This record gives sequence, structure tokens and C-alpha cells, in this order.
Amino acid sequence: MKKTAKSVAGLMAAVLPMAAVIGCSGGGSGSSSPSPTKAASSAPSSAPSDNKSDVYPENGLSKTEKVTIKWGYWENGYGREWADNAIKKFTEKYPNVKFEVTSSPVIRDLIGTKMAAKNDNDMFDIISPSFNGDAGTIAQKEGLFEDLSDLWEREVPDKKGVKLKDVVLPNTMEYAQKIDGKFYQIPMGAYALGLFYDKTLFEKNGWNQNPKTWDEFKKLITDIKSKNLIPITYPGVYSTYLMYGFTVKQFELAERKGTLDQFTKDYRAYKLPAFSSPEFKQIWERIAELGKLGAFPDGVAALNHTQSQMQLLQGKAAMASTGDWVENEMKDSIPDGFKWGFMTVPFGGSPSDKIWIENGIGAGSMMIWKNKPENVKKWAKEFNMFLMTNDIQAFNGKFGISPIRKDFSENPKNLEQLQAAPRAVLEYAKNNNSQFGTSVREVSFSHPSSGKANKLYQDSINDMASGKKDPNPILEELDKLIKEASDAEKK
Amino acid sequence: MRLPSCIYPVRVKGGHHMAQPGVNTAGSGGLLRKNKVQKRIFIFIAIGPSFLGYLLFTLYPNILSVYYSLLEWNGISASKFIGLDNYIYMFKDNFVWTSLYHNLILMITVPILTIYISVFLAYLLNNKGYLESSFYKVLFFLPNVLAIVVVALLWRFIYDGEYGMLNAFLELFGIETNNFYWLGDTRTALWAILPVSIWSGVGLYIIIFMNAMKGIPVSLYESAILDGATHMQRLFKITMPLINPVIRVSALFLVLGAFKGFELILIMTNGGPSGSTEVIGSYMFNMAFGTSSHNYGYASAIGMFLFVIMVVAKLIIDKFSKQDQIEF
Repeated sequence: MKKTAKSVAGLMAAVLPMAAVIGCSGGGSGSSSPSPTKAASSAPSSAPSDNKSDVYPENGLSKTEKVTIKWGYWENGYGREWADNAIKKFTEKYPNVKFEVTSSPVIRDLIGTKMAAKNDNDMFDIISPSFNGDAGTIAQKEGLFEDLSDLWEREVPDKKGVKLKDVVLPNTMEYAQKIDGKFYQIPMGAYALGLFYDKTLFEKNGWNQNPKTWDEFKKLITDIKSKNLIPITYPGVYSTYLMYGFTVKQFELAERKGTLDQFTKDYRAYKLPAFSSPEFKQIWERIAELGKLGAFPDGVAALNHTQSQMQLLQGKAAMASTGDWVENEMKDSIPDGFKWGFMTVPFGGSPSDKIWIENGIGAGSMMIWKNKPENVKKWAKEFNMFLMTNDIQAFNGKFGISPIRKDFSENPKNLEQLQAAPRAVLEYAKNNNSQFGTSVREVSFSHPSSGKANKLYQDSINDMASGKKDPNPILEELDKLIKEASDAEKK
Repeated sequence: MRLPSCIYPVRVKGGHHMAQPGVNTAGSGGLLRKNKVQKRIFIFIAIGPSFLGYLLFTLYPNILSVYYSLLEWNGISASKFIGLDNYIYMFKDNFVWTSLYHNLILMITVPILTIYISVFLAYLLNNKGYLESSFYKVLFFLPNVLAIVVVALLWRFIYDGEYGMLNAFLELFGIETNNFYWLGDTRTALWAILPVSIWSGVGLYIIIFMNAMKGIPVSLYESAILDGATHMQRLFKITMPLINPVIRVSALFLVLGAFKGFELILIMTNGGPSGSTEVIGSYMFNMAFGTSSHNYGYASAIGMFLFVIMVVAKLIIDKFSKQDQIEF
């Protein structure tokens, strides 16, 4: 026994130092990301030439210098084909550039780990902005990503003399996410959130496909309910999906009050009251009203994405609260004759009142890791601008990515390629006095009270919507928790 | 480097031969020393890699977690040492206590039912001599072979309101379910998790208990049968006492699993509806890696608390379960 104990002690004495050295070392490249190639992580393999024929005239970058860009790609509802096409077209134009793509539906886990490790060589050069919680906001505030604000002033590659900021949809720059006044991602495509429905079903039943006032919308809900169908379905397991049609309405209400600018500033800065602001309380009064009308399905808390979206496709629900990626995501299950329609919830009392549509960046925007060789970052920015060309935008439209350029529809062929769901969003925006806006915040809190607030909110959405719980005390409680978090961070 | 002397050739009449193990080439003391060295090398090679893995991937991260639990850290910004603040906050966090309450319900029901069903089925398969017992063994063990994601998704469909097998089964008996979503109601969601946990765990314990029962001499049963003992009497008077150590260890694993496990809940309900299926593991996971929270320090503090709970649970089981080992 003594001898065995001695053997084991000897073994530990031998192994422990090794373990400490290995565990404490900086670590090499991640197991699921390719090792950084020399071209990407160190001095270029061939020095750039001063000869003008060795540079591309449109951007002054070297033709001979080989560059590899590592992309941590988020494989989401839009799929991967659009990214592969963009890479193919870009590398055909610039053969000295190549990409190494690591893609996954949960790339955020890998991104989060690599960000925490802060190993610049190991980190992707560019990433899709997919993060766990507010990790992205935190990383941007820490200055871990490249400032891309200068891209707004660059000419788009397919229209000489036209700057990016002048060719995107109205209010894109104003409402795109900024951190401390800087852009760390440029919207390559827009996604829109709201209520998607089957036009065929609506036409068959004679339902209003474009209610322009709150009262018209409530009438639509009762009409649908009278046919024993679910008016609005959403995945209750991820209850915040319900808010896709509603969160941006705060801006709509603030604009009607004449306080939009101040509201936007306070909202982005997460100033209190946030959850118990008059605007947000009013949203919840309206949602509760819909709940009383039976707008939401029984047992909604048990539904996941697939189940709720299948309810829409199978004609059991009239509308689904989701995003315009839904068509691409469910493309293998869409029945014949299904025609995609879109609406958002009108909060106004008059048909001429402006209706806000929630949109955001996420359909392929990218962020560039700051501590990378300059040549890699320059080429990454070139690629970012390349994604803004109408040809690429048109191809992306086949996979549900709404275009970000306002001149996109000048060429009718571009619209033909756009999937029906995002096309329905553009049609709705055209047929209504509409405004795109985003409900992202520029501030986040790490204190446990913030996590608790988010959990309480998510746990309460289904019950508040169905009328089982009164929203007001919960909204007050949420702000108390946010205040705790905010005060703790100030200490 | 000089190799152990046991492999050097020794001169023997008629040519060279390699030294044989046990051959005294340098006196008995030297041989014993050589054997000790060989034994230590063998131990090192045999368990070194696994031990290294344990140190790197289990012990080291756990020790680091103790340190993280004293920090306010989101994994990206610089961490801030806050001492015991995370623990103080945790003890006041009602979500922690609600989650533990759910764990307690699972801890009381899942181990007892799993062991009860496993022992019963193992006894039947062992003693009844069914011709198709091999088929039953495979059938009962099948859920253990399935990935947890598959098990969770399978049961999500069973519990579905519109297309679920459970509702269809109940309606066969005339029970109107009105498309009830078993995972969508706070009254039924947690109880709906129980059959899944038991179903996915029973198979393994049937195999364990069957092997334990095979070790019981048949003569004991024969004597009992001659004395007129019934099946139930044989089960409770012979089988259970003799496999008690195995049952105790199984109960320990199941109780610890009831506290630790959360994958099933994460996939089936994500802690809903309204937090009615949230357990301490899923709460900790969401605090660290959730879509709306990123606090490694607080999550580590919850992890440490969970560790203490599991140690206490183990000590209670050791204290209150029968330690007697009956020899035959």
C-alpha cells in the first residue's frame, strides 16, 4: 500500500508540472479553426512592389502579395451559398486573395472562446457578428474590432463617384449600431422582423393583408380567430420572438410624441426607465389586448422554431412572428401554392401614420479583428465593400437576404432573384408610410442583475402576452434589476 | 542512456541469450530494484495519459473556477476581483432557490423510480428465464445508446399538442386532450421531464443490476424455493440485500445526476414555461453562455455551490444508506 502510494505520488510529481506548463501556455490554434497561414499572420510572402502594374488600380493593393483571410462564418437561416458565391467572385477578381472559412450554426461559441483567449494569431481575421448575449457589444467597447466608419465614405465598387452612405436605404447609417460613435460593422444586408403570412390563405378568406391602423389590426385578429385558426404564432421556448413585431414600436410611439431623437439616445444608452418607459408599457398593453382576443396559440410555451413555423406553413396559424430568413430556413417544407406576405403591427390611429419596421444587420455583415496585419485588414475591407455591389446583393436575395442598397430595384432583374419573403418586406415598405429601425442597444451590463432581468423578461413574456400575468409589476421589477446592474458597474 | 539491465544479453553456454525476467543476473537485491523500476514505469505509462487528461481537463478547470467565482468577469473585458460578492448575491437570488427546488423534485423521484423499475426488470430477466430476454435487454438498453439530443427531440414530439403520441394514446381511451401541450403548461412541464429521465436511464441500471444478480449463488434461491418463498420474498430477502452495495452506488450516481444534469431540459424546454423547469445546471449555463447573459464569475460561484451540494448529498447517502455487506 505504502509502495503504491509512493508510486502515485511520484507520478503526480512528474505529471503536475507538465500539466501546469501545458495548461498555462498561450495555446496554439484552435482545434476547429485552420492554423493561420503565414500570409495571414505575419509579413507578406513577397514584398509589395513599387511597380504600378503590380497593384490594382481601383484600390492600390498589391497583385502579387498573397493574402489569406480566415472567416469565422455564422451558418444561419440564410445558409452558406451566398457567402461561397461572394468568395468565388471576389477571388476571381483578385486571384492573390484566398479565404479559409470555418462555418457553424454556433460559431458564436468558437468566437467567444477565441475572443476570451485574446490570441491574435488564433483569432479569425473576419467574423460574422454572431455572439453569445452581449459579448459583441463588450468586445466592441474594448476596442477588439477594427473601426469601419471610414467605409461609409468609400465609393461603392460598382458605381463610380457614389459613396456607400449615399446609396444605402434611408436611415441605415442613422440607425445602424454604433459603439461610442464608431461603426464596427456595416450592414451588408438587412433582415426584417415582423409578421409573415400566406397570401393565398388571406385571399381565400378575404382577410385584410395590410391593416394600417391598430383597430384594423385588431379586427384582422378577430376575423382569423373566428375561423378557429391561430392568429399569431411564435416559438414560445424562445419567447423573445414575439417581440419581433413589437419592440421597434417604441420608436414609432416616440416619433408620434415628437420625442424620437431623445428617445433614441436614451434607448441606445440603456437609460432608465427602459422596460417601464411609457412607450414600452404601451406596447405591452397592446400585446395584452391581443392576448385577450386569443391572438396567441395555446401551449405556445412548448413551441420551438420548427413547430411554430410549421404551424404557419400547414395553415394552422395565419401569421408567424419571425424574420425574413424564414423562407430560406423552411424552403424544404413550403407547400405548393404558398405565397409569402409580410406585415408589421400598425400602432397608429390613422392610415397615414408612419409604421416602423424592425430591421437590423446580421445577414452577412462582418467584423474585422483589430490586431491583424494591415494587408489582411485592407483586403477584408475591400471584401466588405465588394459585398455591397448590386450583383452580389442580387445573388444574396436568392437566399432571403434583403438588399441594403436603395438603387437595387432600379434593375428589375435584381428583384426577380430576391426570395419572396424579403420581397414582401420591400413591397410592404413601398405600400406604406414606413420607416426601418433597429432596436439594438449600445450598452450592456455584466452584473448578475442584468442576467436576472433578461431571464425574468424571457420567462414572463408568454404569461404577460396571454393575460396570465399583469405586465406592469414585472416591467417595474425589470427596471429595478437593470438599475442594480447599472449602479454596480458605476462603482 | 543505460537501459534496464534485464534486457542486456547474458552469456550462457552455447551462445548469447537475453536475460529472462526473474533471472538473477545481479543478485536478488538488484533484481528487486529492477522490478520496482519496471513496475513504476509501467504504472506511469498505463495511467499517465489519463491522469494528465484528468488534471488538464477536469481538475485544473475546476480549481480555476474557484478563482473565477471571486471575479466579476464577462470573458472579454478585464476581470475585477470582488471577493465573495457573487456568493452573497447568489444566496439572495430567488432563481437559484427555485431551480434547486426543481432539482429536489427530480432528485426525489428519478432515482427512486429508476432503481425500482431497473431492479424489478432485472430480476424478471434474470430469474424468469424468458426465451426472448436478449431482445428485451437490447430494447431496454437502446435509450442509453441514443444521443441526449435525439432523446429530447423524440419526447418533444411525443408531448406535442397536435401530433403527439401521448395525446393520441389518451384519445384512444376516450380522454379528450384538446391538443394539450404537455411541455407548454407550468403544471405539467416538470412532471413531463420525469418519464424522459427515467426512460433514458433505466436500461443501463438493468444491465448493472442483472450482472450483480448473476453473482448471487443459485443455491440460495433453491433453498428459498424449497422453504416456500415467493418471488417477492426472494427479491426482498435475498436479492436486494445481496446487491445492496450496487444499489447504493447506483443511487449515488442518480442523485448526483439529478443535480448536475440539465441537457435534457435545455433542449426540451430551455427552462420554461415561465422557468417552471429551470434547474440549477441550466441556470448556471445560461448565466455563463446564455443569449442574454455573460457572467463567468457568477456562473462559477453557482458551480461551486453545486459542488458543495453534491458533496453533501454524497455524505448524506453514505450516512443513511445501509453499509452492511452481506456475505454468502
